[in-house]
Parts: sequence; structure tokens; C-alpha cells
Amino acid sequence: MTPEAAGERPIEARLGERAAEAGIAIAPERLADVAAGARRLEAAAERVRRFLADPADPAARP
Amino acid sequence: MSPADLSIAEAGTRLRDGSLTAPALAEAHLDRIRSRDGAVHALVGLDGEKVLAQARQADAELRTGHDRGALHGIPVGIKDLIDVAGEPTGCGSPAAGGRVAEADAAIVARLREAGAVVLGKLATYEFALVGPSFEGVAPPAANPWNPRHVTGGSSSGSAAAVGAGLVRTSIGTDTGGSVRSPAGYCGVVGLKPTYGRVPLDGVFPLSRSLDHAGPISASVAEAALTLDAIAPPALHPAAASRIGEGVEGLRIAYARGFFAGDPQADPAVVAAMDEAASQMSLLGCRIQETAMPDYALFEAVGAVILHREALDLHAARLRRAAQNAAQDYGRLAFQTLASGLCLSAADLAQARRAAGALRAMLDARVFGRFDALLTVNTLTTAPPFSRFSGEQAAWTPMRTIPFNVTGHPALALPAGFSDGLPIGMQLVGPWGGEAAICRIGHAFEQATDHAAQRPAFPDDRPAAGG
Repeated sequence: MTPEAAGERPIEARLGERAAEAGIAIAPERLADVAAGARRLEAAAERVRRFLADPADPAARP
Repeated sequence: MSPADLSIAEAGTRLRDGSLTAPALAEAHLDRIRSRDGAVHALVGLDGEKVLAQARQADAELRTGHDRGALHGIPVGIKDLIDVAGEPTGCGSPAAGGRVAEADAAIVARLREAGAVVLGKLATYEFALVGPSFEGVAPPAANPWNPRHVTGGSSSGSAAAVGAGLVRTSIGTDTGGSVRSPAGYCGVVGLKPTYGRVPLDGVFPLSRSLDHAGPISASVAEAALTLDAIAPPALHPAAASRIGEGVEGLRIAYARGFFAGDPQADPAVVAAMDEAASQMSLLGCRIQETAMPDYALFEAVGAVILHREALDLHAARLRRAAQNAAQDYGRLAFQTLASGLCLSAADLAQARRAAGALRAMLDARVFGRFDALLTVNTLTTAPPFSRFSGEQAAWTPMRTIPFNVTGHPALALPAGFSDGLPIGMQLVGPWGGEAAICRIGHAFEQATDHAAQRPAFPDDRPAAGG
């Protein structure tokens, strides 16, 4: 399950926090674009976790 | 016929029998650049005097019997992500800061040792991340078959230059398909080697687990010769070592289900792939349709690795960009890099573990039974520029990143045309199997006329009044 689906704070808030920790500035006008990409990546990371949890996942079988 | 249209082998024969000189060959390519690059914007750096000086040196060596091999005296273009001593490595970005390379990248050093003439620097998407972008100082490279369409990327200039006949062979980099997809869109050949086969010192990295460098060339044989010049020889059999051998009895897995059911797949591309499989069967290959793991799984693994590793590599530059607007990233590149902030070190470690599992799966279930795998390169022909707003980073639909994830070598080559634009296919081999896929690709190329097609340019026409 992705962090947002698990009840985490919205991606924009978490991105802002991580950007501040990393010393990277995300201009307000760029945030929506970055958040859209980040949502796709969180879904990708979740897809990887599901595969590792169950390598017999039918989608992973040739 | 211009010497610029001679294959590497044909030019090599003429350079050695004295009917062509390396400076005359270089001049023919410089003429091509002068007459055609205005249409395709492939070059970002060119010093004609330096090119001719290298050519004179190559010629002098040949005249004294010092023959460095197949690329001796042959011009080669270099993607502007790769260091050439004394030249700026622009990486397609103001954030690169105009750094001038102090030394040649290992690839360039190997090309010089092979006698090649380093022709110039070729356009790239910003730091090989994403494109096309309309924010740069130069317009994005355009497709030689139709300049209203994209080249694909990120080795946009490398593919446009070969497709437009500016050079016979060039070097690109490929982290998710950046050699193969532009080669496919521009109707030329791209060869992503086995992971680790080509040294990457002096190449600006994007994702060290997925990065590869390889040739984009006018034919399979020329791609193989170029790879053999830039790869240390001891690791695997030479890519060109089996070119010209028959392919009867070779076992080819046709991964049709990997793309044909995707709603984004152009029916003309699917039909061309089926035709290619039939052609290989006619050549005597044993074709068997084979299932693959879900493409979305490969893409997810690749996306996590690429974005997290790229963010780590660019973090210091991103911090500097925050202080200096003149060295900021373009909108699409920034968006791509900053989105990786959502990924943790644990996400990266898991994706790397999954990549290993997928490689083992393909080794056991595909390359344990077959000599090569046939699948599509991109799911459509090159899209028009009008489809890209410049506001949202997006990957065009392709089937390339799985073999960055697994490290298997993959050869992209022309498979037909639709509405005047090239269609591309891929042949994938076991690790170290470049010789096998080049052997098969060359046989296919010889049996079809797809790779012989070239786009028309005004300078093709004989001068009026002759």
C-alpha cells in the first residue's frame, strides 16, 4: 500500500519536509509537478515490495 | 555518391587502397553537417579544424603502415554527456556550469587509440533525464524523417546525426532506453551492451546501476565495430566476430505478449513485429512465442532505481541551483529529480534486489532455452513535438528499460515504416551475447531493406543545370 493510501500525510507535505532536510528548494509553482511524479514513484516502490513479498506473483512469472 | 555515405568497411577499404583520404572523408561529413544540421539540430559542439587535424594524423599513420583497425580515420560523434578533453561537457543543461573536460572519457580515449576521428559533441536531453525540452539555448534535436517529430532521447543528437547522414556512427548512453529508443525513432541501429562491458569513466552518470554506453550507427555491422573499439576486448567475444554467419537453427523467443496487448501499441508496429518474426523464420531461425514477466514490474523496478540514484548524484547541484538561478535545471529535469525525494534508501535496496531476481528469472527461463529474444523497441513511431507540452515529464511507451534492469545486451534495429516514420525492434541476448544478437540482426538487415532506407534532404538532388 502506498504511504498516502496507508493514511500518511499528503505527498506535498512529505516532499517539502524531505526537500528541506536535503537542502533542496522546491519552488511553489513546481510543487504540483513534482508531487505528480512522486505519486507515480511511490506506486512503483509499492509494486516492487509486492513482488519481493511474493515472487510467485502471477504477473512476475514468464 | 558522397564519401559520407560509405559504410565504415567501405570507407576503410578506400582509405587503405589510397582512393580516399581521411581528410577528404572528414570534409564530406563536415559538408553534410553544414547542409543538414540546420534541419535536425544534432550538433552542439564542432571544431572543423580539430576534426581535420585528427584526420590528417590518421592519414599519415596509414601511409606509414600504422593501421589501428576498423575505425582508423572514421569520424565518430560523441554525446555531450561524455568528456572530450578541452571541450565543454554541456550535458544539455545550464546546471552543468560549462565545465571544460580536462581529459578524455575512457570511451573517447579508446576511440582515439583505434584511430577514430572525434567529430563533435551531440545533443542530449538535460543530463539524460527527460525531454524534449523547449527551454534550452538550442532547439531540441529533430527527427530526420520528419522534423515535426521528436528523435526520442536522451541520445537525441547521436540518433539524429546518424539518421541524417551527418556521421555513420556515434556514441550514446542508455539508462532506460536512451540509445535504443532514439535509434528506433530515427531508423538507425542502437546497441546497448551488457552491463559493465563499456567503461563509463568520464561519462556524466545518471544511475550507476542502470547506466550503459553504446553505439548508434547506420547498420548492425557498424554498431558492432564501434562497440568493439570502445569495449575492452578480454571480457566477452567481439560483437562483430560472427557478422555474416548464417542463422539457421538459432532459437529465438518472440515476446509478443510483452507489447501486443498494450493499448498504447500502434497496430502497424505490432504487424511489423509479426512480419519480422516471420522473416527470421524464413532465415531458418526457430521462433517460439514466449511469455515474459509483466512489463510494469520491470518499469517499476527501473523507475525506483533510476530516480533515487539520480537524485543522490544530483543532490549537491540541486542545492547549488537553489542559490544560483543561472545554474538552475529546466522544469522537466528538476521535476524528475525532485520526485525521487519520496523514495527511501530501503526502497532503493529493495528495487536493486528485485532487479537481481528479474535477471535470474530471464537467465533461467529465457536465455537458458533460447539464443536471443525478439521484442519491440518502442510501441509507436516517433510522436510529434506537439504532443509534448514541456510541463509534465513523461516517458514515451517503449520496452527498453527491462534490459537496463537486468543488464542483458539489446540491439535496436529498423523493422519497417508507418506513415513515413521508422518502426524499431529489439534483439536481446544473454550476458556477453552481443556477437549473437549482432549476427542475427545483420542477417535480418540483409534480408530486408528497412535499414537501407534514408530520409530525403535537399542536398540529395543533383544541382540544376548540371
